[in-house]
Amino acid sequence: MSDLLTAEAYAEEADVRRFPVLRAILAERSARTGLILVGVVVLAALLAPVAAALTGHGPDQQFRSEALAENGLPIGPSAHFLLGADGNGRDVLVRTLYGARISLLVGIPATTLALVAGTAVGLVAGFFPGRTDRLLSLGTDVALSFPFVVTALSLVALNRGGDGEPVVDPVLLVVLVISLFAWTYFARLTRGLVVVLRNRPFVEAALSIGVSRRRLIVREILPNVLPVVAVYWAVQLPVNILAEATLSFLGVGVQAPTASWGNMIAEAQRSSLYQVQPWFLLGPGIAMFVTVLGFNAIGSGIRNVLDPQG
Amino acid sequence: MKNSVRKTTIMKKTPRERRPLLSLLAASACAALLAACAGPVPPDNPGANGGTGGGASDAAGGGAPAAGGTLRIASLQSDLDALDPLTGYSTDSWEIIRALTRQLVTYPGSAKDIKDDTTLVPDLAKSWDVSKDGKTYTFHLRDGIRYSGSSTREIVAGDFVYAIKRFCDPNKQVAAINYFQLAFSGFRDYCEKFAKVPPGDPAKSKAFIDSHDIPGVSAPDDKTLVLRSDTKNYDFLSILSMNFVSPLPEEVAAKYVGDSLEFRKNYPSSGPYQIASYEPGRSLVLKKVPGYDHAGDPARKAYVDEIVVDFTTNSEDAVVQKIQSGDADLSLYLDVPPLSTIQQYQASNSPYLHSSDSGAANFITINARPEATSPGAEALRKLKVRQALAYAVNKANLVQAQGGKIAARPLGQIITSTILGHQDFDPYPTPGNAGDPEKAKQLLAEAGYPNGLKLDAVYRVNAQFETIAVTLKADLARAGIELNLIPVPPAQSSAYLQDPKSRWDVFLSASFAPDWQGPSTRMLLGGWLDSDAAPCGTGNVHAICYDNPELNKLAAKAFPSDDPGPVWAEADRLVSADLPWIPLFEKRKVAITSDRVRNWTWSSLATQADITNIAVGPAR
Repeated sequence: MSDLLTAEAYAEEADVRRFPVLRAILAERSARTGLILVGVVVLAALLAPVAAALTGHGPDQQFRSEALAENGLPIGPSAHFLLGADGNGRDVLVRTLYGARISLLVGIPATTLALVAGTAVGLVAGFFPGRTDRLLSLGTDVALSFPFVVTALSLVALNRGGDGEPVVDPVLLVVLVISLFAWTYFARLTRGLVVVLRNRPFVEAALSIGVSRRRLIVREILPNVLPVVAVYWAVQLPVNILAEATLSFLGVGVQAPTASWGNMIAEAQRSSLYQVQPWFLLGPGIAMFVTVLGFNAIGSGIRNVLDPQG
Repeated sequence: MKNSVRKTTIMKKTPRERRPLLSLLAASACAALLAACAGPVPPDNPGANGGTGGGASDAAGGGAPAAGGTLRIASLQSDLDALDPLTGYSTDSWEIIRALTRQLVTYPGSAKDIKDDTTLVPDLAKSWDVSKDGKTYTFHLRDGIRYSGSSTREIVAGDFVYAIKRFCDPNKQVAAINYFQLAFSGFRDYCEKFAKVPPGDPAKSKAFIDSHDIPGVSAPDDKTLVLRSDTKNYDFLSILSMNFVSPLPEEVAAKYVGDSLEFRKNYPSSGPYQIASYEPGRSLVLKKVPGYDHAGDPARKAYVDEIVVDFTTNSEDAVVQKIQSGDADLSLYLDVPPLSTIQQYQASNSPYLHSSDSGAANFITINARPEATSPGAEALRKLKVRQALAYAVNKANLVQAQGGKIAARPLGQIITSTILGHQDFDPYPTPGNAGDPEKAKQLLAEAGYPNGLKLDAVYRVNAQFETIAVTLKADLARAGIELNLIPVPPAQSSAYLQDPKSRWDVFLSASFAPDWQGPSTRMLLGGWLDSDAAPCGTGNVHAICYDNPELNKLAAKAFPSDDPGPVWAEADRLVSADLPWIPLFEKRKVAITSDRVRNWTWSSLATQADITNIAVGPAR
């Protein structure tokens, strides 16, 4: 009887631990809002070619006679160009949707790469106190001390071989540059968590029965760290999407004529065309706002659920 | 993105400025667009010039301007590309250098149109005699004209001799040496000897200059300068009007290497202004020389007391906002104001929008140096491929991207409409200038490229050139020509094009502005394209490396001619059909100013505002 009760109680508790976490997250209002917003952005990115097919406007296609006045000024929103045109007679809506692809294509791999690298460094640094920790932490601090924009600009500038061709695909390079800076935050976070976990009884117990250190890190510590790091992934993602926009804005990220939100905003601003065609600026601007808001809402929602005190 | 453009090399004066010239179309544009175009032609009271008065109530551009005040210039770039008259070869550096240097002869500026500024007037020379054979010019210098700044002694004829002897200093060669190879007797020999002096040591250069002479350049006394050519040149005086031939005191200039910051801060000024302070990235302040001898300078009225160049506005948008809000009066390094700004000024019929034919043009240059062996460069050596390119280009689209008729018109030839020898024609016309992709495809097929062609296309990164690049990419794709766009920051583009190892087939951002208006045909047909004057090699502009003995013969015939116009017209027909580059459009210069600007004046040499003749008054 009592055995049965105990077993049931355990099973129930396990249930509450596993599935309901997801359910609790879904029940959390800001997380739900965030998921919906991000879902919209992902859907928009996926459906960009559909929008292009429906309107008949390719992302880089110019409609100079239809969408530009004789003096070169773009038209505003109309039935054919829902958000109007840019300075080259291209459809702002279609380009904004394609821009979402670049943002996600750069943001997600960059943040994931940073997560993997940062977590690995943090695990090792946290688990091996002494010289290893000091060295890795010092490396992290050094990496953190580099100013992002200046360093990124020089790295991207170096990416031109003797023959003038980029050595690495510019999009890939932007991913690498962003993760080069973002991993440090994951490393610090993970190290802090591991330092606390390392002295917990279950770690000592595992050590005392002779579990290898590698197994201990992978099987015992990592699972405890991952949820927090995952939340941080959602927090860091919008930051990295903005970083891509910053680099493109400065002219070293995604190259013309490929549409990216940073490129589009830079073009609208440089050419002052936002004064006559505000949607040239508002289209990518609002899209970026929605994306960042969505991921931030997800991040804060997950944190509310996993760490109500925090 | 900032950039301190550096266009030294033999690059010519254009890089930065661009504004086409629309010539006759301008008239209709003006009619349609109202006042804007003609520029502040003297509105109500066409007063004289005079440099006095205190009322400052003249209309925008006319009337007797009041002297005094500060002219504030917002620079798009964070520094000047050059300030040494030896190496300055961009329209923007020429605009500033005009306030700091004087020449033997110069152009006085024109209130109406850049192309009207063609009358040479005496500058530091008060008069000159020409020998019967037209080969020897004897200049008589004005008395009592002094330097200001780091030297205050009187300007003497020997200072010109020294300046010319500096032209082929291996440390820093004059920007447009091709003009002078043919201009002075013995110049070529002198330069060949000078080239053997090892660079890097100013003392060695000084020793060479002090111990060698150029036979065609001499100063019999302090007030007399004799310049002799092997041949007669109809444009000899015009060549001397460029800032390269400015006097420099050897005791100051010899102390510095090239156009260094130290040199700029210790600038020996021969003009109406001197440098009061100079901080790259922040500001350049020019102050009027106290007690400036106005009687001795017929070309520069120097109305304002102070000229301040602000280097902190590094976006097109910021520059025009400063001007619109009245925090700046003029722009520098702004090729063309943003379309929306032009449109606003047009809509309000503003007298502060100025536009003028300028003879400047944009084109696509081709990497023709022998080291270029990429498939694209090889293909472009075939005339049919170049013709295909000329047919594939949609010039109407490019004109529209420049801002329409007020700013540009399609161009199909080398010589533009304000230059001697111009006869309007287009060897490869297309309906409505919109390109003919079918014809282009057919020509490509005949040349052996039935499946199209891929070209590495370099362009300078800024809003304008990027627009041209993406528009060309879209339009050429219709003819089966795929452009692989390679963006290069403006500050690096000259070096990139000059480097034989760089990979590029075509350069989409090539442009030029005439060094002076009217008889300046030598610049292109007798310079860039003439392999006698500009042999292929270091310094060949944009690696054009064009070699056409027929053209060289015509140029040699034109230089000494009393009526070179028809010869140049023939040369233009010959070369334009051969497509050493692909002409795109001719630009008009468009400028906006604040409402403080009075006595608006265009400068032929700077191909934009003449800051030595513009005045300022209270805002309206």
